[in-house]
Formats: sequence, structure tokens, C-alpha cells
Amino acid sequence: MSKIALNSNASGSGVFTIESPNSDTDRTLNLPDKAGTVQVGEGIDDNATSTAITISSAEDVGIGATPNNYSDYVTLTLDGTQGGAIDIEKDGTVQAELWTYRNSADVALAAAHASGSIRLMAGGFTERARVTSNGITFNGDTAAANALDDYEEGSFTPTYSPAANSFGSISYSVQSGYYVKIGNMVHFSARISLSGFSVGSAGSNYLLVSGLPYTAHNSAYSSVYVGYSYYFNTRWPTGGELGRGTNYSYLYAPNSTSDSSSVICSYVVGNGTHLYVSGSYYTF
Amino acid sequence: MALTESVEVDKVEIVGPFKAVQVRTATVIYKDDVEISRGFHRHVISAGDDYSNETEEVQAICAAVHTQEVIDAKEENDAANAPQE
Repeated sequence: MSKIALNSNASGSGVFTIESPNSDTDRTLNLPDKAGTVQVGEGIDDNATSTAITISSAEDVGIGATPNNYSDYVTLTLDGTQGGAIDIEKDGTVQAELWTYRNSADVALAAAHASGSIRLMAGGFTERARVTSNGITFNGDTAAANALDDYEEGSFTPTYSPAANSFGSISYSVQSGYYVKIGNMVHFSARISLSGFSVGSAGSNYLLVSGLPYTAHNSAYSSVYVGYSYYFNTRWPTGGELGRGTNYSYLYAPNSTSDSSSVICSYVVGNGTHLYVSGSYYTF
Repeated sequence: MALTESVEVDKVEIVGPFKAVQVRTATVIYKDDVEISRGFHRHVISAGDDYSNETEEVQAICAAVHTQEVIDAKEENDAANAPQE
């Protein structure tokens, strides 16, 4: 038979009491076969009013829910009326949060501090990307100018316009334009086809491809490329130049008498003209 | 199942020294009030452009930023940067 020893503490003065419960049923307290300290009143406490935390026999943990069990995984399950959240604090201040975004199917991960960022690491603890207040940076680069801060794609409506005065009339059979903006760089492609045209007072004023989706930076030089031009009068555009600080492009055609190209005027457009044009330019 | 479409100006930006107003129009498709598609169309209103066909909100912005001083500066910029034949 094993022995039971109760040892009082030599310096303490409090009374240690073992008290039976108010029950007609015999109760047994089994202790594990190992040395350790039993703590009561700290750690897990559900106050006996609800199941705050459930630890399953598979060692999965559920808070507010029966824990899910996935074979060969240890699972932590959080379930509330708005989902679940994990707060990570430092000295009582929230540093990071992972939570189900309220009233949506989204999940949010936040660095709570105003200057905080989220680092993504791979290959051990090598930083590959960081989400900062300036955008996304890569490979440990922290320069704000190198942060990728925008991506957008969409459409626009390209038009012809004269640099001065106005066309007599113009009607389009095709006005198609698409763009992708990555950071400050805009890439676009467009087609303009005419079903009717009279030059009016535009005559020798420069012909512009207008309606581009963003304004070009006024300190950057940008060009466009013409892949196909059809039914222009006497001169066929092969490229162009964006007006700095504008959202239109001049069109250029090679000169027949010199090793250069020059801007074309409105009178070269005609009914049935087709133009396929693309380009990239720096914006604000 | 009900499909509905909403077209709305969802972003207005004022950029550059000549206060170009960049307008993004979003076309949103809903299925039973849940968004299933969103596409964007853009256009730019430069200082001096006619904006009478824009939404009231965009008109108000253009009126506020496209002052005569800005329009004049934009015209000077365009003339200075035009190709020299």
C-alpha cells in the first residue's frame, strides 16, 4: 500500500483545508503518476455556466464551439456569431489581429500599430514581401518609392480630337480601349474606327487620340505604338507621343523626304479610317 | 434568381499641377443582392474641358479645382509641349 504524506510549510501561517463536497455521491481525486504542481483557480475557468473551452480526446481545441477534427492535424476552432478573432498583444496593447471580417466572407489580418507592417517570409525566415502603409514591398526593401501601391484594370473610350478648332462631324464604328495600371505605370491598347467624318475647321491642326484613362505625368516622356493604320489620307501614323500632363497622344508618321517622323494633322483622317494603338506611360 | 446592375462613380481623383479630375465609373452586377462582378471604366476631365454632362458631384469638383488660373496654366503647358513641326 502506498503512503500519504501531508507536510505543512515551515514559514506559512495559513490553514490548508480539504473539504468534502455537498453530495451524497463518493468522489475520487486521481493524481497523475508524475511530479508536478496542481493549480486551481488559474488557467481554464468556465465558471460552470457554459463550456468556454473544449479540448477533445484528439487534442483539438474549440472556443465557443466543438473543435473540428482533421486527420493528422491539431485544430483550434473559434466560433462566434460574427466569427472568430485572435488578438496578439504586447504589454496590454494589441499588436496583431486575425479575424473574420464582420458581415462578409472575408478574413482580415492586421498589424494594429499605425507604423506596423505585415511580413511574409519563406525559405526559413527570409522576408519575401511586406505589406506596409505605402503598399507592398519585396525582399526586405523598405523604400516607399518601391512599394507597389496600385493595380487596376478596366476600359476607356478612345476618341479623335483636333488640337484646336473642331471637326465638322465624326461618328465611330469602333471605340475600344482597355488598360492595366501597375503602380504608376499605365499600359493600354485601343482601336478607333470611323464610320463617318468631315474635317470641318480642324484641318491642319494636330490630330489627337484622346480619352486615355489617366493623366500622363508632366515630367515624363512617353510614346505610343501604332500596329495598324488603314485608310488615312497620304500619311499613315506609326507611333505617337503623349502630351505631358495630358491624357491624349499626338500621332506621328514617317516623313518621305527625311530620316524622321513628324506629327500628323486632322485632315489625314477619313471616313473608314482604322487605327490600332497601344502604349505605356507614367502617371501620378 | 435576380440579376441587377448598378453604375456609379466610385472614385474621383484630382492629380497633377493642372488638377486633372480622373473619374472611375464602376459597373457592378448583383445576383440576389450579392455582388458577383465589378468592372471599371475611366475618363479624365482636364482643366478647360466641358464637364456639363458629368454627375453633380463631379461637376462640383471640377468647378472647385478648374479655376481660370489652372485652365490658363494647362493651356500654357499644352502649347509648350506640343510637337514642333
